Amino acid sequence: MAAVSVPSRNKIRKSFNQRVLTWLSIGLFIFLYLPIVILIIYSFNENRFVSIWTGFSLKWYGEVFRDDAFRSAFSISMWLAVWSTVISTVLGTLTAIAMERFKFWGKATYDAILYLPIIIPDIVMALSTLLFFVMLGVALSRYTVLIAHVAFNISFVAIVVRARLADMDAVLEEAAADLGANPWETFRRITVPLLLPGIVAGALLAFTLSLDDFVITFFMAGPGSTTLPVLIFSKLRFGVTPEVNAISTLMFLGSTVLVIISLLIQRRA
Amino acid sequence: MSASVTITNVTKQFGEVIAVDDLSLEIKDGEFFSLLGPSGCGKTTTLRLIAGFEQPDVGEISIMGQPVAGIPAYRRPVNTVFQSYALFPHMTVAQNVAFGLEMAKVAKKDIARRVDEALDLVQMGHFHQRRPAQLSGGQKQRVALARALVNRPRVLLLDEPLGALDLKLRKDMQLELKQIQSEVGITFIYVTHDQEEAITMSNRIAVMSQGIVQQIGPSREIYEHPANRFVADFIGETNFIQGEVAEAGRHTTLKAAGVTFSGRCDQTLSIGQKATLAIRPEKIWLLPQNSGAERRSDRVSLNGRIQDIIYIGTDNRFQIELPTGDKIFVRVQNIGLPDGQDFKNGDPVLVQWQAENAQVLVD
Repeated sequence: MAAVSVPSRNKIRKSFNQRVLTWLSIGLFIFLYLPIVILIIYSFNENRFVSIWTGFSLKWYGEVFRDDAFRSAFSISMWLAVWSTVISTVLGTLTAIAMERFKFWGKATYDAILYLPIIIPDIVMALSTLLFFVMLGVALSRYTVLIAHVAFNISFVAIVVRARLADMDAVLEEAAADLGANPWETFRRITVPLLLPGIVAGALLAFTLSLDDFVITFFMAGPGSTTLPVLIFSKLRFGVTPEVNAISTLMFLGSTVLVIISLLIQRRA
Repeated sequence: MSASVTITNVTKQFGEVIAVDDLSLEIKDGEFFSLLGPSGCGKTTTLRLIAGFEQPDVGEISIMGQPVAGIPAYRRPVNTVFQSYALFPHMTVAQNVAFGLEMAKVAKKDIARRVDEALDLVQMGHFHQRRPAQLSGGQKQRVALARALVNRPRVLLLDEPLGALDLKLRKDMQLELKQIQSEVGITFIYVTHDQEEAITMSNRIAVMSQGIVQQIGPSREIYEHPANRFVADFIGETNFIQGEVAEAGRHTTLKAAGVTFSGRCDQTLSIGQKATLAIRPEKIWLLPQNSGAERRSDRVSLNGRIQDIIYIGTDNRFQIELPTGDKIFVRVQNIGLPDGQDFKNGDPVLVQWQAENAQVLVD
């Protein structure tokens, strides 16, 4: 009888553990996402006070699109995101190829340094980059913000592309050379097409990161380089209005779509 | 016949490991030449040196009389069939085969025609628009072959191209490769670790071990007259019987435990020297003792005792203990002897061979 009761006790304990895990997971997801859900709901609030729900309305979205500050911030954000994506995708891809396919002096050190921007706190990145520009005597402008965005985006692009490159058999490049393709033809006809899913995924990630960045942008922002996150922050000083909720909701949607596209591309490849 | 590839005193090291050690080879034009050896013997490195994927540390390689030092892989008149096929996954079969011709700037209409011809040659004429992922291993193999041959290289390098195929397909492809080679008439340099494959297909074989060529010669010579113990052991199945030289000459007689036995010897040995006799299991006669069978002057004859009989269908494999203490295998073809003439475990037998069929080797 004892032999029978042992497995059944295990079974009870297992289902107990499973239940605890399930509830923990649900709790965690509520903790993470409930604030965002509330933010989105209140962006449709008719009342000008965020915390008092009086009825459904799209008027705050209308406010947003009429707001010159918003339009200017949006165009600066897009300008930054597009250019930092283009530059960091090219440089990050070339970095990934150098790290994966070539041997050179100091590679191990470079390898470690390359991933630092991902590990070190944004505030440290921001402060050090700011001090660097001050030391050089460079006036802050949207171009300094762009340089800072490129600096951290390269690392993310390089990681994503390099993962793809590690999966790609180097013998394919040898086969191309064997068939008479010079290094440039091999790169153009074989390496780039096979890396494309990784490059696109890296670019989308870079775009999202640039669009969302606050800390580094805030430190680097010169006159006329107010991005959407910086705009939201400055609007908060006059109290939270549903307009801020509406802007945040729009940004949340944009970022989510980009991240999902990036993940889909990586998974399909 | 002129030389197609000449390798002169080539050494290649990877860190501490010497992959190819002072190698010299001359491969003739139009020849089916195999580099045969266990993994790590330097055969693939040799192929990669010819292709230009590796550069020799020392020595010189010439292709069709032209030294190729400093010439990158993409300018060498050779093509490779890779072990993993290395088909471009983002291109169709036809695009894969056309790649080399496009790189050589062949006119568009000629490309289409030559791609058709190459795919027909390997019986893949109906697969133009397939992607490599939609092909079986054997089909990928054929496309890889077409992709290399379509460029009409002077030399085709094949790196264990049948390694990933199952046995039946392997056998078919062996014959087909051989046939294609005689059809296109270009030099094939074939890397394999499969001795049967090398023997079946090659005009000549270089047996390699530890970066050194152990023996070069036609298949028959390699099998019948191995130059040393490594070759005798690696190619096919061989029995080794050790002894001391009692009588030296073209047929050298060895002595061990009071019995003598002889075999062909291509070296001059001195009396008393230690040596090994190598004899193939299928070259031995097995006769019952005391049954009218007798010792013949044209055969070496030893007494033995059956220790084990293994039935393997086409043959019976006998394990025989000799008076020297050595255990040897004997293969007797299963021709369906009537009952009663079969041997039993423990039977005393007479083991005989012709001296010409055994090889005396020095370690």
